Amino acid sequence: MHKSTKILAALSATALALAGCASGGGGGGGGGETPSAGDVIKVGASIPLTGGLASFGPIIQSGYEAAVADINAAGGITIDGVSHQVELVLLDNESDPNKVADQARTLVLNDGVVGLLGSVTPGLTIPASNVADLESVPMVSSLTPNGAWAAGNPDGWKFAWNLFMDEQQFSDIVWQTADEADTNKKVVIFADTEEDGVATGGLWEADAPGAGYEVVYRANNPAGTTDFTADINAAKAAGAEVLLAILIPPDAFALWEQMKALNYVPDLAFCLKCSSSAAFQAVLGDTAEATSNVYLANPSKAAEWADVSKAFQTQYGNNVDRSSALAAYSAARILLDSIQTAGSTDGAAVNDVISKTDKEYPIGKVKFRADHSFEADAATLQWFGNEQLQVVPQDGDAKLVTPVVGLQQ
Amino acid sequence: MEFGVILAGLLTGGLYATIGLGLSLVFGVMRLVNLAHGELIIVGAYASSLVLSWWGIDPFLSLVIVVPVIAALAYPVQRYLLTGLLRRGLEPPLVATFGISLILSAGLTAIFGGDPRKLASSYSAAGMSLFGQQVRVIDVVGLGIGVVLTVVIFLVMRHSRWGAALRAASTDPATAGTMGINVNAVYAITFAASAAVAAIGGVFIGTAYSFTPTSGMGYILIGFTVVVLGGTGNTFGTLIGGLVLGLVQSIGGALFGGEYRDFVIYAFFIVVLAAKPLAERGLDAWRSRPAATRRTEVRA
Repeated sequence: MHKSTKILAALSATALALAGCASGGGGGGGGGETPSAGDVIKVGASIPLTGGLASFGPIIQSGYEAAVADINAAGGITIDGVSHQVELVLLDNESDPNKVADQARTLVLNDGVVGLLGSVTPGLTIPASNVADLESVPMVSSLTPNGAWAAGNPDGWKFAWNLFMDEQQFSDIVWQTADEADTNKKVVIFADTEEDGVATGGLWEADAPGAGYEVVYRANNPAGTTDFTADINAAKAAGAEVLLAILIPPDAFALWEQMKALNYVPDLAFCLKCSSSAAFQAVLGDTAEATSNVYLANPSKAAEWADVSKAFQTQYGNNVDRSSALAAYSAARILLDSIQTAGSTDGAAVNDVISKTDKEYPIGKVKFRADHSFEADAATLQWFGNEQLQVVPQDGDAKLVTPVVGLQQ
Repeated sequence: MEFGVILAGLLTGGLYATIGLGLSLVFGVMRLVNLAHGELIIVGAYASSLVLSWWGIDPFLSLVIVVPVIAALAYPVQRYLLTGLLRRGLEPPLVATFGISLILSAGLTAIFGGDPRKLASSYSAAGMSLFGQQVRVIDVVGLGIGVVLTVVIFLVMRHSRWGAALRAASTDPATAGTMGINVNAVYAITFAASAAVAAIGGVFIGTAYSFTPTSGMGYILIGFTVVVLGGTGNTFGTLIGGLVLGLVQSIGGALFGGEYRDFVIYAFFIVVLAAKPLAERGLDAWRSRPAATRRTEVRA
């Protein structure tokens, strides 16, 4: 063998051996080893702190951090009679789905996390779920519609779990709300051409006749559209009194202001995805008044979660951001509680405990279905000032307001 | 075709012209493809949002502060970085402006976060009747800005000493240098002026729509399309390019549906790109014929 070839072969063998050692040393998949006294138990997540979904990242982060802080304040997780503090490892995936799988793998193999937490949207959550299944590390996620998440693995998830709403709820609650408003039952749909825009827009269009509504105009625009003048005029001409929109926030800001400028005031206007963050009202101000959204219903009223619910309300206000933070908190608590109950960091043991979850968390009474998802309660929320209040089903004093007064000149 | 669709296209075209003007200016004078132009637009919007939040100054009044500040920040970038790179060919400054765009975008994200923002104003949702059509006041203002900027830049280029120096530096920088023109300063002032125009566009976009640190990429694509349609370095051509793009977008959306709007724009763009050289060659051939023949053909 040529000398340089020998050196290359030796280097390759060394590199492979080192890679094997690194993998083994990191704990490998599934946790498995019982932590020694003084060891911390690590859980981790790849979340969008920058990029297009950056508005969700810090909210998810605060939910996870609060859960870890609460567990640590209560003495940590006890395994074999020894208490261990929990450490949260977060990586910024820059809202890039291509980075999520690498980062999740890094968390498991290099950082030695024994459990993964999720991100937001199917695009970011599914790659991490794949890693969880591949490495036999349990993962709990939220803020990702169940149907799209389940479709990410047609064979069924094994170590990944998700708690959020089903897509069908986005449609059912809309018609339930529209029934409570006095409208002519004519509907306009504004959907973008992203995955969820196409899916939810199609669902609304398909379900409308069965619910007694007629879709008189549907505007499909690519994300990034700023001029909706022609579509608004068409909706006005068609006499649509119920507006259903699923758009990215910047497009929705343009649509809402253009509707106001062009004197188009529907009786009911839903803005899904667009008003799933408090930025909607912060940017639009009074124009957001009485705009509706479908999101998680009011959090659990169980005394156990009153403090955390109040803390997030103080931090974010009474709106969807608080709900998102509580959903993230719930996901983290389910994972940490399961490690505690399992009394082990073994992936299979923790996974088994997660599958048997039957407990009230801030997101609701969690019991996973066979496809590893939990269907949280959905509700229609309306903006009143800087608060988003649940109006359907009614849960408090707030009642459905029509028409969309924020769009009146 | 409804008149409202045409009117909406023309109004949007005013903004597109403003976006294209700054790009056209630097490309026309220095042959510099400024890939950071979109981020300069967004920097203008963020600068105005700071002025608004600190002092409560209306977005359009904030231009008095924002425009000189952005221009002053842009000047040394050209003077001490890009001009030196231009001497090494067209690629180094192209890569440098791409780097600047990434730095600006990351910097804005670090400072302001990724949430979409908007410049709050009472008139952004105000409507008015124009030729019997209900339109947004802010869109009419946008068209006005595009037209005014075009006229101002044209007049400055044609009828001022700086404009003469700029044209000289553009045509033959070496000779312009021997004539006492400080070409480096002319380049830097041109880049600063381009950044100022970008800032004006940014304030308009921030008021009429919304912006995030990564919004710049979409606007630079529009800007390049406008510049190519209107002719590089051609001020009035840029205005016409913007208006045509707005019209094509609006009519395309109305005819084929919003989802095909971008397809229609870029299909049109490709057709123009393909047809333009043929048309120019034909025109050149016609011009190069003897004058008598041309007159004969025209009379015929």
